[in-house]
Order: sequence, then structure tokens, then C-alpha cells
Amino acid sequence: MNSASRRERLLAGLLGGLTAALVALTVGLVLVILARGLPQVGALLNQGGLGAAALGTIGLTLITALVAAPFGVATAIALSELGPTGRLARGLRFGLGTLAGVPGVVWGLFGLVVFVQGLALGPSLLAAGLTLGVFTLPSLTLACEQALRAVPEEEREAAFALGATRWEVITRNVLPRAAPGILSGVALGLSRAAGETAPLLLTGAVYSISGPVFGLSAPFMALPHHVYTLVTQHPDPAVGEPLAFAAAALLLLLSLLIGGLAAGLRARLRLGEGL
Amino acid sequence: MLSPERSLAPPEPAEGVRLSAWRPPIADAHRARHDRVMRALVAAGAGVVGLMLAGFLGVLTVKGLSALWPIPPVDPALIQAAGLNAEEAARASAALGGWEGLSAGLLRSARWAPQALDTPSFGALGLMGSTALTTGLAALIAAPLGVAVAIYLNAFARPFERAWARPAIELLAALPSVLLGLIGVSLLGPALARLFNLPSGLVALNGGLLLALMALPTVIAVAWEALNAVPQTFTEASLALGADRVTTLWRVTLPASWRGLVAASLLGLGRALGETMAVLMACGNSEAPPTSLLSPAHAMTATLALELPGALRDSAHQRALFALGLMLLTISLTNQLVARRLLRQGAP
Repeated sequence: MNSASRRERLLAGLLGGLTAALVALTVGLVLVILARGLPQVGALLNQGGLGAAALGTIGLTLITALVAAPFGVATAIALSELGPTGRLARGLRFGLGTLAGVPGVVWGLFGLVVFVQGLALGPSLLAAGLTLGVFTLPSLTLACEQALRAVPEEEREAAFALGATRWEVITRNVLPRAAPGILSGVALGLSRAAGETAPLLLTGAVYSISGPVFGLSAPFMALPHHVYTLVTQHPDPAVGEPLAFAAAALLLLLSLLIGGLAAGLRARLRLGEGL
Repeated sequence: MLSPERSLAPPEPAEGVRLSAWRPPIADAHRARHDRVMRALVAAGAGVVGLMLAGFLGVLTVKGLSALWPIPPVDPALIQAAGLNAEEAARASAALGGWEGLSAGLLRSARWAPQALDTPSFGALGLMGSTALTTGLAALIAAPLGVAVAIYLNAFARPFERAWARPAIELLAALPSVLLGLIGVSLLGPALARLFNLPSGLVALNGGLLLALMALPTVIAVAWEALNAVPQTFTEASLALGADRVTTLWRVTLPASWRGLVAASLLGLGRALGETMAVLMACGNSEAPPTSLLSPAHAMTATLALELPGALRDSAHQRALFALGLMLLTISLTNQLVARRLLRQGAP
């Protein structure tokens, strides 16, 4: 063995060790949360609140989807199909790309000013859902646009040559082929939104509610906020911590479920393209 | 009957118009109308989104800048007239008014005491220091580690290793930040307390480590992409000349992709900067500014999340918090713009 190859093996071993450690750490974190949380789910159910928190998160995600998906997909279609190189399109794409990196707490600030105070929705499920909706919009739109642009140009040209209108090309040729990618982008955006906590703190999440779970204009409970409150504000950490892990395990399962859905769709997409 | 705009001949190609942008005319009026209406609807949706983005920037800028102008304090007598006793009125007056604009020392003092009855103080230097400390630590860990992992995945990993590493990194990116906050409070905190013999493990170091973990997926993904963008011919030429992989990496791959790697580190830094839950839960939220990595810290994002829900509308406290929010937005946007510029320049 010459020295060069020893050097190579040394570096590869070092970098590979770091990579393996990171992968192991990630898997370990997930397992720890599940192992400590799942046995406690029953206790949290008895304690009350778990159902309301889970339903609150589902309600929030629904509102987020209703806000972000139609506008996001419409914008993606406009960007990809109507005028991909126009000045407006480029400006919009640039703005979306930049705002996709703005921290969640700043979106929460926007939600507080515009939805809670400006539109006088008060601290409520609706205000929080709208906030999460606009928070998710940039990244969701960009993911959907990427899915649309991955459809080969020949697909469109062929349909145009047969006399189809632009809209017919979009709905009959482009959207069906891009559908798995679009759904995957939407699912990814929603799983991010479902785990987001900071905007909820500013728009009305509470530790317990007495009214109906789905009061649109009332303060609400949500899983990530429940985790936060249980672990930081429970008077007895020995009680609060296991319960927090239970809520955390549920939240993790929920986001794994949506994320897995997105990954599955992406895999199908790759299969469909024969890659 | 063909109207002039539906003439069958392709239009004269004007300057700068691609011929491929021309589409054959649609003979069926109904289909053509349907096409126009639906396209207008989609464009309107995009327009709403554009206005929303502009509104986002506008609202936060106006609200944040409003903290620069002074407002007179509210007369306690006025509040007393609303049915409060003298002590409560004095308290409310202190909470509501006496904002001296920029001269209130947002950028000059480190004393952040918004609820102090006698003289509320809104010096943000301590908060900015906390953010710089935790975020800086996170970047110092995540940037080299993330680039190292990206190099391994790009240059050394076998296909099955890549197939395992990618979903694991996506998993780490998808972990809700409140879960890492929970880990920080109940696992990392006690461990740090034992290790450094501290009364509590909720210190800047704890938050910094969690932020590093959150920044890593971003760094790895962007750096990996930057390394993959280096043309394979470059590395093949170097290897064919007899250089080993280490030399190729050092002399060819890294020089060809350094802009992308710096951008990856910057984007990771931006991710850590905006993270809220980890620094809110794991850093102790002290009022005093941090003196070292082993003392509690109170980052800007954590302050916003903690204090905004309770801050009275239009009070001095709320104005100061909006100013903090605008600062965060400005730093995060600047960081993004620089990183994206580097990525554009680095693209071959």
C-alpha cells in the first residue's frame, strides 16, 4: 500500500464515521422519543387534553391546507405554465425563495398583526391556521413549481400540436404527470406546518380549553404547543415530562406519517419516470 | 369568421419574442373562452400571493420602524378615569407609554426589563448577544460537520450508504423543533449540568448544540448539491493525472465549489438564527445577558415568542418587540440574499 491510498482510507474513514454518527444520532433521537412517549400515551389520554390537542393540530393542518394548497398550486401553475421567464414571474419566484427562509416566529408576528389584531379574529384557531397557511405558502409553491417543470416539454408541444388550448394542456397533460410531485410538495409543506410551534404561541394556542374543540374563533390546543407547555410549565416535572414525551411521540408519528406519504409519492414519481 | 387577433398566420416575431411562444389559434370559441377564464383565475391566484408577500414585508417594516419614533406616555389620570385605582393606573401607564423612540436605547443598552415598574428598559444588546452566541456556536459546529458529511456522501460513500443517509438527513430536517427542545430540556440539560457541575443545564451551550443539529440538514443538503454540481470531468481529469482522492478533493473539488459550501454554511446559520423553540426551551431565558456558553441566554426569537402574546397593543413593549422582529427579518433576508448570490455565482 502506498501512502496516498492510506491517506484516502484515513479521510474516508473519518468522514464516514462522522456521517454514520449523525445518522445514528438521528435514529437514536427518534427512537428515544417513541420509546419514552408511546407507553405514556394512555396516561395522557386519561389526563385529558391529548384528544383535544391532536384534534386541534388536525384542524390547524386542514385550515393550512385550505389556504396554502389552492393558492400555492395556482401560483406554481402560473409560474411554470403561463410565463416562466417573464419579469413578474421571476420577481415572484425570487420573493418566494427569499421568504421561504424567513423564521416561523416572524410569520407569527405577521399573523398577530394582520389576523389576530388587524382582521380582529382574536387569538383563535382561524387566525393560527391562516398564519400557518401563509407561512407554508412559499416553500409549498416552489416545490409544486419544481414538480410542474419536471414534466418534459415534449408532452406540452405534442398536445399543442393537436390543437389543445393552454388550459387543456395544463389539466390533461401537465397536471396528471406532475400530480405525485405536487402532492408530495403539499404533504411536505403540511408536515412542516403541523410541527411548527412558534407561530402558534403568538396566535392563540392554549394549554387547555373548555369549549368545543373546533371553535374557529376561540383559542385552541395543538400538539406541539402541548409538548412545550407540559415540559416547561408543568408544576411537577416528574409528571409533566412523561406526558410531554407522549404528546411528542404522537406529533412525531403524525409528521412521520405525512412525511412518509410525501417520500412514497416521490418514489412513485421516480418509478413513473423510469429513473 | 376570424378576428385579426386569431389570424391563422404566426405573428411577426417581434424583437426578443421566441417563436416557440406562439401557439396555434383555437377554432372553438367556447374552448378558447374557457381557456382564457381559467388562465385568468390562475394568474389572479398568483397575484394574490404576490400581494400577500408584499404585504408581509410592508406590514413588518412599517410596524418595526414605528418603534423608531417616540410616543408620549399615557396620563395615569386618564387611565384612572376608566375605573382603575391609582396604583393600577400607574402600572398601566408605565406599560403603555413613555417610549422614547430610538433614543430609548434599543441598540445602546443591554438591559431588557420591559415589565419593570419604575423604569422599563428595552436595551436589546443582551438579546442580540444571546442570539449571536447560540447561533455562532451552532454555525461553528454545523458548517464543518455538514460540509464533511456532504464531502463523504459526494466522494466516498457507496450507493447503499447514500440510500441510507439521505432519508436519515431528511428525517432530521423534518423533526419538529419543539421535539429537539424537549430533548434539550429533559436529556441534554441534565447531562450538561452533571458534566460541568452547573445548577441547571438550561444554558447557551445547550441551545447552541440543538441549533447545530437543526442547521445540519440544511448545510448538508446545500453543500451536497454544490459538490455534485462540480463537473465529473474535473475530478476524472485529476484522477487520470495520478492524483489521489484527497489531492483531488483539496485541489479540484473544493476550489470549484467553495462558493456553494460557504452558501450552505450561511443558510445553515440562517436556519439557526430563526429557530425559536430550542432556544426558548433549552436556554433558561435569563434576564441578564449571557457571560459565557455556560450561562443562561435569552435569544431574540425566544423573547418574541415569550413576550408578544402578553404585550399590550401599541404599548412601548410591543413596539420594541416589533423592532426586534424587523431586525430578525432584516438579518435573515440579508443572509438569504448573500447565500443565493453565492450559489448563483458558483453555478457552472
